[in-house]
Amino acid sequence: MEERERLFEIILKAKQGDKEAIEEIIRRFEPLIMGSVKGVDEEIKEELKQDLIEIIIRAVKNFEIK
Amino acid sequence: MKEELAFIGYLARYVKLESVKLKKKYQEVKYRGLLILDAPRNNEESESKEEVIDSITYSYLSFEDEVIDKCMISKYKELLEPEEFEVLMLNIVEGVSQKEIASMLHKTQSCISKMKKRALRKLEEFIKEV
Repeated sequence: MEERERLFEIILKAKQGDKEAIEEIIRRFEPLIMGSVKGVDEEIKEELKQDLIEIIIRAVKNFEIK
Repeated sequence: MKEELAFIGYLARYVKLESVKLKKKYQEVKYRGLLILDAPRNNEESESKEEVIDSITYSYLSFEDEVIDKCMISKYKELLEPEEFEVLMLNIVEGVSQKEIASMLHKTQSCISKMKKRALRKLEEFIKEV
């Protein structure tokens, strides 16, 4: 994946099911995920992170580009 | 850029909402594990008269605030560039950190910070004029 590829192009690819694009989105949104699991018990942190990744993948697919 | 910021806003809201739901779910599971049968019932729905009055008064006040907020936001939208407005809304209203916005847009945090400062300067000038 090109280093400076725009988020919009990555979203378009991810919506079409491109695995690399989905991985790139998850990488870019990692700070958001980490922020959301901050202060959570260690025992459920990893599970919560996985759930949020799933949520992001679902959200990307449902996002409507106007 | 506008679509990207819209997407970030959408995702930030969605992730925060879902994470609150998930945390609640995990806490309930944990609580159920610790549940003692003779523990006092935690009835969160019961409200005293004062609480009911407060909720009515504050709901009216919050409606007024909402109207003012909407007027201010539409004015800010006129004053700022679309990108500046979106960054400001994401950072201040949605609570998405500058680091998070920068990471999502593949820009540096200082770039987002400069954009925010520029927007705030414009708003400051507008407020001084009023």
